[in-house]
Amino acid sequence: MYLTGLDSAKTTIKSAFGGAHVLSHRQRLVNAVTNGVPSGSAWFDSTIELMTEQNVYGGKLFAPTSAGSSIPAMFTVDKSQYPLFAYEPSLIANGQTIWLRDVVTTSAFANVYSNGQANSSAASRSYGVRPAFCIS
Amino acid sequence: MDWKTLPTNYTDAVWNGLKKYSMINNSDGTVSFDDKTVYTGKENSFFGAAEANAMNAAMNKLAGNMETVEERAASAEASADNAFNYAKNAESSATTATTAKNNASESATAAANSATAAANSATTASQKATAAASSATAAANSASVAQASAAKVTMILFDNAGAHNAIYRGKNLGTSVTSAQWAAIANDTFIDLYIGDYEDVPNRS
Repeated sequence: MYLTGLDSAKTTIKSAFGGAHVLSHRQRLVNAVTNGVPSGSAWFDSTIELMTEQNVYGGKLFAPTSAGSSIPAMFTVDKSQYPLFAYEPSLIANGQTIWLRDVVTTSAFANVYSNGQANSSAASRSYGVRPAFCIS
Repeated sequence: MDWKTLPTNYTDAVWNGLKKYSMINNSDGTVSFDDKTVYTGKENSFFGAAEANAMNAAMNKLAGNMETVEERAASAEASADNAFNYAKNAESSATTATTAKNNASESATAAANSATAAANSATTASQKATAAASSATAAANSASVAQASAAKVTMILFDNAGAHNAIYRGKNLGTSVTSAQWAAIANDTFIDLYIGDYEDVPNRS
């Protein structure tokens, strides 16, 4: 999804708003997974990214969270819910199942199901992307 | 001349046999005949100049009166014609007057109806004016309340990210970002930009 769908979305967004207006900012992204849990990350110059579960729902639902004896690293600075989804939760669903950024297992990522419910699916599935970006 | 009644008791003189005359030899050599016939009713049979004059005078008077009667008749006929004409004119005037009266009556009725309608309209207008005045008063009161509320809301409606991120609007902003919107984003005022607003960019896929 990062290599095909998101790149296509980036092209569309930059065409619509102008590449100079799409804000480049630093983003911490996961770059390693161990036993289905994010184990490594790095800072990147980012322009357009998939949303996290926090961006959509306001919290983690499928991505690993504290399990009593272990506190998995989140490896993200995108920990806040967008006001759009806080004030109008119905817009979480747009009729398409869309990928989120969060790793759920060794082979699954979180997504928003087409009807809006929180979901996770095997990474091999072909779903849409609904990326977020900043304009300036 | 006063009218004198002419006699109507003339009679014919009646005699028996042939008339009888005695011849008288006059000294100048002529003879005269003296009527010796015995008549009956001769006294009223005589028709002389006096009676003829009386009759002629009466006829003349009658003839004169006839002319006067004819003149008066002509005058009376003329007067009758005039009277007839006056009567016709009067009748026409009466008809005109009747028509005018009817028209006046109809006009009066129409005017009365119009007056009634006008009065009703005036009453309705008065009622509407009263209602409008009440509505205006209510609107003024509402405006005052709204103004007071707006003043309170204005105090928290700052043009910055915090305030505009706290309001969902969902407005279609158009097909492209305007220079004013870019400026509002760049200077962090986010004027006329709120949560849920979107650009409907054509041919975006």
